[in-house]
Formats: sequence, structure tokens, C-alpha cells
Amino acid sequence: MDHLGEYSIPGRKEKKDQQILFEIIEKALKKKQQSVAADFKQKHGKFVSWLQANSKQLTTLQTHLTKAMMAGGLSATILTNSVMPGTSLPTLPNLPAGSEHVQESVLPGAEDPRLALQHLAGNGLQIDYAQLPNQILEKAQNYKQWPSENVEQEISTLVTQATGVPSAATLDGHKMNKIFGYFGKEQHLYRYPGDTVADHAKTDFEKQAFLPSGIAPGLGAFGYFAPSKTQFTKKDEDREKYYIAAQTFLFPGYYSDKEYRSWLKFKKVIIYNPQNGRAVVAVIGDAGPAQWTGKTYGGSPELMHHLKMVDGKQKTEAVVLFVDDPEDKIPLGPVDSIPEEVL
Amino acid sequence: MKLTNSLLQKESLMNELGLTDFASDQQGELFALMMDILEIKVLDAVLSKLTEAEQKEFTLILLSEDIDNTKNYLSKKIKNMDKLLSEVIIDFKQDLLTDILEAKKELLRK
Repeated sequence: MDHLGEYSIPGRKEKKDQQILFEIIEKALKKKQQSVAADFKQKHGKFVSWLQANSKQLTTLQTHLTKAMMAGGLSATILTNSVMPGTSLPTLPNLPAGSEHVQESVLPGAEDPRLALQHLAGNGLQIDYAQLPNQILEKAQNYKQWPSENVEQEISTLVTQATGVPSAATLDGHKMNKIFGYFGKEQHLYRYPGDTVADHAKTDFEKQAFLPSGIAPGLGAFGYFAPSKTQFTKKDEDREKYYIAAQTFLFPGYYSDKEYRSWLKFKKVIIYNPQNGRAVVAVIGDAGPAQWTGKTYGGSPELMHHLKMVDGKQKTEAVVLFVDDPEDKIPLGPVDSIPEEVL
Repeated sequence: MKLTNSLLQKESLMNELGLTDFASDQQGELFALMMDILEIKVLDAVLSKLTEAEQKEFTLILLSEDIDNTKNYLSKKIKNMDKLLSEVIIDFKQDLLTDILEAKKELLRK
């Protein structure tokens, strides 16, 4: 396989490029080796200390474990041939002459869940909608123990399948600190100067259900939703009605990327409750909650109500993903496309 | 190369990753690094399924080089070892693919 593809130029330059590519890959692997080892030591600190105290080497353990696995019938053949259930690992695309194609996803659905849907449809595979909440819950529980981009992608693909809303764990290169966690119930937020909590309810039901939550004493992390009452639109109203507080201060790159905060302001997200298959499209409207609370997100009173999530001892966990909606076509609020039988 | 036995076959992995154009010694170097990363990930996955006491117990069994005993211990403590290992390897391979794609992009930028 010509791994340099169209970019390669036969002869001396190709050899030079190959050497450079080798050095880049080698450097990346060495860096990964160090970070994986450091993560291991951090995660299993007590165990590593115990090994050292008993003059045992981690590398010896690795070698012995490999031998045991090989002898245990976990042969290299099954491990190299079965990469993903129902799929095989695709070969890397060759590099094109220009750089515009290098963003192309390596795996179907790896970056765009809609591609995964097309991929499934193309293979004639049927989606069992009734099983999706359980599948998402199972994946999300795995994610809690084993957070990885791979599981994030699988979850976002499943949520896209379940709701019809294109959902992504990574959008425009940005990702959250977590995509699954406990929700706390938030208060209403001031939408414009002079706003009052009473203005947040129009019907008797809304008055009874949502006004008791009260209104936060300060503004949300992104300020008012509209500069004045006269400029306040239905869109602004929906944004406050369906908002989440996310730990933006823990998002990777939040402090190093100056544009990140404005990118995040009222960014559209989907919240999926795998306990009941309910989903709501909302925006990131505030920052929080604090880490010590044990919660990862906060939800507006309306959002918590629609997802049937509660706070307190029985607090609920849900999946949160970005909504890939560059043309801003997907409305905020409960997702209507959830099949009846799932609910 | 450090290992005589490895969890993945070198030729197969190099082929999957599109690295077969590299010289044999270069492939060997990359493969050794990859296997070192994979071994740590596998060990991490196994230890994460065990309690502190079990981790120590398992280490002693592992170091005794009694493969049958190790195998039995793992199957007793970890319900689906095959699945666990497969998950680690899937994750590992996808990581590698991403890294190699990034490397190719970096080469383009140079």
C-alpha cells in the first residue's frame, strides 16, 4: 500500500518524506507511551507503590500478562480480524494532493453520526428503536468507567439514531469534559433587564410547575438572553426555557482558546435521558455546577420536567451532546421524533 | 524487540495501519512502541476490574508463570475477558489510526 498516496513523489523526495513520516509517527507513539504510563500510575497509584515496595517491575507484569492472554486462547488472529462488531477496520485513506480532504472521517460515523446512519442503511442493517435507550444506557455506563473518544462516538451515533437529531461529542474540534453525568435542577435565569420570575410562566400549569423554582440572583454565564424586553424574541425565550449549565470551565481548551467562550455561548445541545428515552434540544446557557456537588450539569426547570429528571437523592444521569446544526434549523424543546414505543 | 509473543501480529497490524512501506526495522520499532502502549492498556483494564486485594493476589499468580492458574483466576474474576480485551484493542486501534492520520496531516503541513 502506498501510504503517501498522491502526495508521494517517486525517488529521493519520497524516501525523505517516508523518513519524516516515520519520525512523526515514532514521536507521537513515544508521547502516547509516556502519557498512557503516566495515566496508569495515576489511576493505580497504590498498586504501583505496592509493586515497587515488593521489588516487582511493571514491565515484567505486562510481559507475563501478554503471555497469559496468548495462552488463554485470545489469539492474535481473533484480535486482528475483528475490529468492530459488524465492520472491519478500514484502511487509511491515501493523502490527497490538497489538504481539504484530510478532515475526512477515518471510520464511518467517527466524526459525523449521520454518516454512520448512512453506513448502517447502506449495509441494510435495521435499527431496533425499542432497544436504543438500553443500548445508550449500557454504553454510557461503560463510558463512566472507561471514557474514550470511541465510546463517545458510539453514543453519539446511537443518540442520533434514537432521536433523529444529528448529535456529536466533538464539534468543530471542541468537546465537553464529560458527555454523561448527573443533573441538578437549576433556577430560571434573567432574560433581559427588568425581567421577573412571574413573566416566565404563561399558563396555569407553567405557573404551578415552573415558577416555584425561582430565579437565580445573578445573570447566567453568558449574560442576558436579549439586550431589552422589546428586543426579546421567541428564540430568546426558548433558549432560557431549555437551557443547561455545563462545566465549561473544565472543557478542554477553554482557557487557552480565546474564541471558545463565544463559540459556546448558547451552543445547541441535546440531552438524552437513557432511563426513559426522552430527549430535549437545549442550549448551553450557564456555567456550572461546581465539581464538589458531584453533578456534571444543571437543567432548567422546563428541561428537567420534560426529561422526567429529578434532583436530590434520586438525581438522574443523562447524556449531553452537541447538536450539529450549522444552519440553525432544529428547534429547541422536547424532541418529537422519538418513536412512541420507546417512551 | 522486547517481546517474543505479542497480543497482535506485526504484519497484520502494519498492514491495517498502512505502514508496510516502512523499512522492516522501522516497522519493528513502531510495533514495539505500539505493543508497549497496548500492554499497559490491557493491564489497566484488567486491574480496573479487580479489588485492591485481588490485584495483589493476581500479580503473585501472574508472576508465578503458572498460565493455567492465571487463566482460571481471570475467568473467575472477570466475566467476559474476551469482550474486555476486544474493547481495549478496538479503542487502541482507533487511537492509532487517528494518530497516523494526524501524522500524515503534519507531513502535509511541512
